[in-house]
Amino acid sequence: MKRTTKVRLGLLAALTVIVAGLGWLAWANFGPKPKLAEALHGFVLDPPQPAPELALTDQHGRTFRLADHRGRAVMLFFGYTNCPDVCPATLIYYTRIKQQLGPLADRIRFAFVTVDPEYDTPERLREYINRFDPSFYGLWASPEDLQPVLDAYGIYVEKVENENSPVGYWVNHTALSFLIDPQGRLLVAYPFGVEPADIVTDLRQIL
Amino acid sequence: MTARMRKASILLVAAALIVGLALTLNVGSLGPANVAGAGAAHAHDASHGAPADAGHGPEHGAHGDHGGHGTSPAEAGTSLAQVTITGAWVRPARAGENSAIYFTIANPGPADVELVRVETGVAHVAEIHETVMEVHMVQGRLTQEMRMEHVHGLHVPAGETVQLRPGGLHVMLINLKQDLEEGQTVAVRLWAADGSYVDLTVPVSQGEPRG
Repeated sequence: MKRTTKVRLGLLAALTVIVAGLGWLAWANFGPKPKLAEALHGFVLDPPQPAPELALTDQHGRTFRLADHRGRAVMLFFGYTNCPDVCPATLIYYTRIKQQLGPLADRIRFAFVTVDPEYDTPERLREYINRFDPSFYGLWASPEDLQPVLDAYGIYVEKVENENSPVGYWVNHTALSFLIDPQGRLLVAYPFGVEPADIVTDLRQIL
Repeated sequence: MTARMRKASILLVAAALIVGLALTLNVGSLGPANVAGAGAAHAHDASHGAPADAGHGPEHGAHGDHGGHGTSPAEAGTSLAQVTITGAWVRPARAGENSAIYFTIANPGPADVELVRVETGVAHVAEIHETVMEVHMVQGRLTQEMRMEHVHGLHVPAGETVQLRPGGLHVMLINLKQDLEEGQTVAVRLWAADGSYVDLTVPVSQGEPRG
């Protein structure tokens, strides 16, 4: 091949790469949006899957099952009562979401599952939940019954010994809020930190 | 093709590559890579402000002797005299439980400030902690996890503002000596590395004070 031809081909290749790159950028920024009018503000399960069932005891001693809440959405969080930061913050965010939903709030239930069932008895959960909103559910299961639920939702729990903690340990854990829709499907997982207003926007589309 | 055309083409390609690179880096949203601990990669809340270094020695703003406990600001350093602390609040909780204090600290300078200790009569232990979100592999599965790290020195460089907020930095009150109920206030003393301190009166509240 002549030298000039090689150079021209090289330039053409470079130009193609540049154009392709710009095209990709344009697609990413201005391309077609997902099916919902506005994208959901968390990790979306696409397509939605049936949420793993729970059979846990609530703070009043009743059995809580997702199947009993068809027709309503359920927001699920895994935490523990001695948690000073993320868990109370999440429950506060739930009260704000409920407030901002107004009349729609009747179509969603909020549930807190303890990942420290040895310390967090249903009694203790009731006292804890009441600080935020007595209509929230504080859910408990024995460690043996809890483990399959943790596995099903991919919840990582690690007790870390710490002499300063009043109970001798902290618990590191996955902090995700799971939104289960009125049809019982797991729709989206919100990492800690998503603004209540954004979650409310998502809920208005689903409820 | 002429030498001039060749040079122009190379410049064009180079320029396009630089623009593309710049755009790509702007699209990403990873904050400063490592804060308060080595090892795993942390994904941080972008509104974090200045990074908090663990065990970072005081290198600025140490005037005269470092003083000891109970040293008045006049004798020790004066770094805390220059800061403004706003929006302080502490969560309600029962005696024997834990709670957390949040606030915003603005340091106009000229000295850097390092918060090293917190004292309060309402808890057995008060420490600065940071909730850190980590993503890692556990038994072959990708896992998100939030854990708390003890921050030994909270660095607030001159000209910067650091926000302590839920899910991030906070002063953890460990093993409360009394109930904290909304409407009450808590006296807290913050100590800096240069020996200066500042006293706060923190309201008990379930959320950020509005207005």
